[in-house]
Amino acid sequence: MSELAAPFAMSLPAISKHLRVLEQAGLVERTRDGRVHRLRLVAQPLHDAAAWIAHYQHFWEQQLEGLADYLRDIHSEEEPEEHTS
Amino acid sequence: MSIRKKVVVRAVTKRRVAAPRQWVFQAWTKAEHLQRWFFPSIDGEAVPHAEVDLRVGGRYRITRHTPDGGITAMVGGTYHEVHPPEKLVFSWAWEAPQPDSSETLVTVELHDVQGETEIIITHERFPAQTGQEEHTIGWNCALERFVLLVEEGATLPVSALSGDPCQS
Repeated sequence: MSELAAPFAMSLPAISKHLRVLEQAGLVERTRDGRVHRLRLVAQPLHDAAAWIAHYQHFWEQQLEGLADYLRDIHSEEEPEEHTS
Repeated sequence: MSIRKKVVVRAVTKRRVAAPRQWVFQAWTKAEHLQRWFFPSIDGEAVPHAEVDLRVGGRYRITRHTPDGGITAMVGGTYHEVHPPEKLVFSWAWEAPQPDSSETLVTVELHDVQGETEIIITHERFPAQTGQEEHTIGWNCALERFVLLVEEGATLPVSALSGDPCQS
């Protein structure tokens, strides 16, 4: 854990706290060998999340493109109705 | 193990369209409009169909058929909030071609910008709630317990990551 902490301008307890959060989230796995704690990144959840986000951003961009075209079409077909609110 | 972090994975998409909010809201909420833009006809032969019960708790379903009646795509859900002409919140689950294992949530916000409309779509994926935690292992295991708010434009360093798939 001290190796992990070395590149960061943070105290060891602070690093330890961050790692516990990641561990609770299942993004880091810990194994103990005596006093040595080994930590391993579990990356698949982040892959899944990033893929899901990319998929739906692309999907909704396409949908909104289609909606914009449709609104342009109906605008040219008919004059806007007056709406009172 | 009593601590469980709630997961929200969120995709945000924005677009401005040159039409008043009332038009845009109707395009989202009237079946005759939805079926003309939601599933654009790729081959000119697909037949879109929409059903809308526009009230909180009411359902919608949008389907694309082949001319002989086969279903190529189907999505549906339940309206959670209906605030014409500014906001619409509905659950979302594909039924075809590949059924979703759980529902997600879509929020559509319409902002008036000098007679035009800015559309903001927020699509969120949650962990299973209402006591179904035990049935959702596998597809997003560890992620369920993690708080992850990814705003528009944020990119995760996917290529930099490596590791074993989480399988439980």
